Amino acid sequence: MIGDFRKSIANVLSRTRAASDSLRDGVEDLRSKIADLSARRDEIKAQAPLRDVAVARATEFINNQKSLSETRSPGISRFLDGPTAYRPPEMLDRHDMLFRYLAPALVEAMTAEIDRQYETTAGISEEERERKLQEIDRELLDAELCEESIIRASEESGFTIFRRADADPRAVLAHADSLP
Amino acid sequence: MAKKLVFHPSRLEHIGNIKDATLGASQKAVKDAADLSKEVKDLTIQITDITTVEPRDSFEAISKRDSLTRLTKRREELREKLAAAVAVREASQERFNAASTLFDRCEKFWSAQV
Repeated sequence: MIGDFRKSIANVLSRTRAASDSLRDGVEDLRSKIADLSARRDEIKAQAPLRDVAVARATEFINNQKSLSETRSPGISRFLDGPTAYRPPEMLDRHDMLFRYLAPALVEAMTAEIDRQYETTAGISEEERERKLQEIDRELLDAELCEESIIRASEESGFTIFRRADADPRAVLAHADSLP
Repeated sequence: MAKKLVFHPSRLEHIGNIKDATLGASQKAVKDAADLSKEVKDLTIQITDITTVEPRDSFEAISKRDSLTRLTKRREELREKLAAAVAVREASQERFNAASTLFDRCEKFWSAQV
């Protein structure tokens, strides 16, 4: 009789442990998926823009520097002064001179360099980036809601699974009806 | 998931309760480790005291050796317990930090909702 009771208790204990392990495994799988999706999200955010965007950025940068250099470096009319009035400028900023007179060549050189980079770099349009990020965000939220659902189920069963510090508050604070 | 998300204030309270519980556990773990550390130090003082006193006769020498063996063994046991308590202290501190960070983020999120 006592042997049967012990056996029954052992069975219950075994099933309880199995249930606990199953909940933990479920959460671990989801956490691994969340980590993968987060890494993928970071990759998409960091992905290079389309080639034209990079060229436009480089052109804008050089043109801005050219504009600045035009306000800083001495006006060319100074070199047209008569021999008595003419004094060579004390110092010319080499960068200013470079941007002021060689901007088109710099843009051309940088464009060629950008083209070389894009031979091995895949660019992404901002629309595509936004679409992919939204897709990942939806998957992430789904995974977070599932994780929260399992954590609550485990809490109700008396098992403690600690939440991640970076868990999504939308999942953590969700009403039970909002969870899968 | 097409379902519209609805948030409930009891969830924030729940997360706050978990934070408080982890703080309590962390404080207890700190105290447990400190108590064990003090016990180990006290034993070390006792062992040093016994070691420095010269026995006056063979009876005292045997007694001293027995005491040293007993205290050293006890100190080793406590050191093992202390190592485990320190691990518990670190883990509970991490749990509290995580719970606290999560609560702060949830509180901020909730404030932005209401």
